[in-house]
Amino acid sequence: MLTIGDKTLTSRLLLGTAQYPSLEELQHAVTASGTEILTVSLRRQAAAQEKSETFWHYIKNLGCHILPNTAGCHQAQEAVTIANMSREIFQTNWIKLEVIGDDYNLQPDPIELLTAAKLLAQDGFDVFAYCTEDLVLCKRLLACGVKVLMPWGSPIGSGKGLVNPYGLQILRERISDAILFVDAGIGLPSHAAQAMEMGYDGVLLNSAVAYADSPRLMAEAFKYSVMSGRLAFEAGKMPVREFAKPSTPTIDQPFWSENLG
Amino acid sequence: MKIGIAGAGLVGRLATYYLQKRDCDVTLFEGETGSSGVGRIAAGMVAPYSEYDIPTKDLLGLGLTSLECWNDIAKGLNTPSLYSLFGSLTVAFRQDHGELSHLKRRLDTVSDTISLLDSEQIQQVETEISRSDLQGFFLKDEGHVNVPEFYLQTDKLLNKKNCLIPESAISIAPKQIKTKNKNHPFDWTIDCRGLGAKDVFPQLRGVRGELIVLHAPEVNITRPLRFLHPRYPLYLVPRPNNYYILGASTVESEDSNPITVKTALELLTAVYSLHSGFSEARIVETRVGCRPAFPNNKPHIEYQPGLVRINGLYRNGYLLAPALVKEMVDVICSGTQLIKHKFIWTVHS
Repeated sequence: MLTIGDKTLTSRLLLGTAQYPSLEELQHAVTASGTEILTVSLRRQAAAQEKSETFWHYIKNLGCHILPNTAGCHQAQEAVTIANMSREIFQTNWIKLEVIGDDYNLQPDPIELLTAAKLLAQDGFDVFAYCTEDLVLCKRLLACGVKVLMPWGSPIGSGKGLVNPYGLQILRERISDAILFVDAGIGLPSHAAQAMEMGYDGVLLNSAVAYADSPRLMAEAFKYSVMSGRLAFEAGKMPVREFAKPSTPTIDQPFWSENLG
Repeated sequence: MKIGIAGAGLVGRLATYYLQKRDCDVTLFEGETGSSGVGRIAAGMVAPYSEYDIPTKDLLGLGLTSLECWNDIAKGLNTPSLYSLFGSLTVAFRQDHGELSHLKRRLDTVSDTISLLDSEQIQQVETEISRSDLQGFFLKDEGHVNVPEFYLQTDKLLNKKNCLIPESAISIAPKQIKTKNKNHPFDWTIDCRGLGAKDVFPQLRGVRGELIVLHAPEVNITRPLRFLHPRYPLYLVPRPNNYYILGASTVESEDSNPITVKTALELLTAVYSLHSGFSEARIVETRVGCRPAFPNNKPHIEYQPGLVRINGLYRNGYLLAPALVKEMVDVICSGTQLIKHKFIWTVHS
């Protein structure tokens, strides 16, 4: 069980809603994944009529909590504007705050992100901040009222998995009392399991499922990998050793028989 | 046989063509705000392989049939320039080579003759495309329709037989179409109103597409070109006299306001990066339309005796319409045993 504000969730997998082959395929993927949170990007050009859109009705009828995002924003003020429009349209205080600093790898801009996060938290938003695995930035974000930290695994849409597992591990260990999701760059279920084994509270992904030959099968694969990774974390891992240690007792062998040189 | 058709877009026109060939007496209804918009502004690509996607793989056969149908239609309308079938190029810039491998992996499941080309091999196909970081493939079995010519020729067809009634159909029932002041009896009726048919297909939605028409005297590209792009594929389709159609965005919104700066920048940057001759091209026109789509993005035909409704051709009007309409006309004239693509049809007896 995971609790965010007043919402209790059984699934720790969050899905994006873009780039699916069809709305029907998105629906199958959502069902197969067991997800309870969907992130949706507000299209500014359609904002005025968003409420009447068939697409939006379709998403709403999937029965998940909606996490609107500010994808495509480059400045704090721009993100704040989109967040406010999203709050009105999607009727939620949740906002996944994305402020991009580099168009080539869609890396978050920490300075603008912090500015926007402060403004939005003060304004009563529950901010889910898409950030890097920088510990100091993450601490600053929490200090200004961010609810959920969402460090990247690797650049959005790259499918490279966790390119800095050390940094993500340290972040999790140093910030043990906040909700942390790995967001972006997940390409395979094993990447998601790796993040969950580290103790991350959840994983958000989109392309890995949307671009699969069968999005619904891949969604199901992620469902199990996230569950599996979480169980492994809760179970507690065995110690890592430099040498083999037989799991079957070798009672007829003296203790120091091996020539260790 | 007397047939009434509601909607004079691509499907309505093809239905007229095929039904008149069978000596049917066709009447078309099309109001001022009718559905002819989205087919009229399209680029007209007939690209079964470029559009191939695993979740819609069952549409490939229809696309391949359409390739042949368009040849026959061009001949039937005595206008060879209506259709060109000499292949298309799919290309990707360096940062998008991943998209190319992804499409290639999918295409390898349906064809073993598609090979990856480097920039020199691409230049052998289209001599003016010389960017060194391009990769791509040449898809020889792809064509494109000269859309203005198709509309011109079918306009002539409609005018010659005087079969167009410039009024909207208010309701379409088996064997009967109702307009504002009159009931029109027929042996069969066809409902192909696109987004206008939301009254009977509430799950139908519009998906916005934006296009730019360019006049580029310095550019001589002879085949449709598709650039792979992470968000949506872009294409450039040549028209006679150095005109080019550059399209198209795919936005989940039923918004038909003018093109946005963002889309215009994306489209124009792509084409300028491909060929510097586009720097002096003139932007002749921008176009916006909403494609009718069902939740599975596949077409759907609903049949009951005396009435057929066809809709949801989404991005694939020119690719799928001839094969679908031909099948529909066969079924109207000879019975439901001629249904070939069962997954598209719902038959009520």
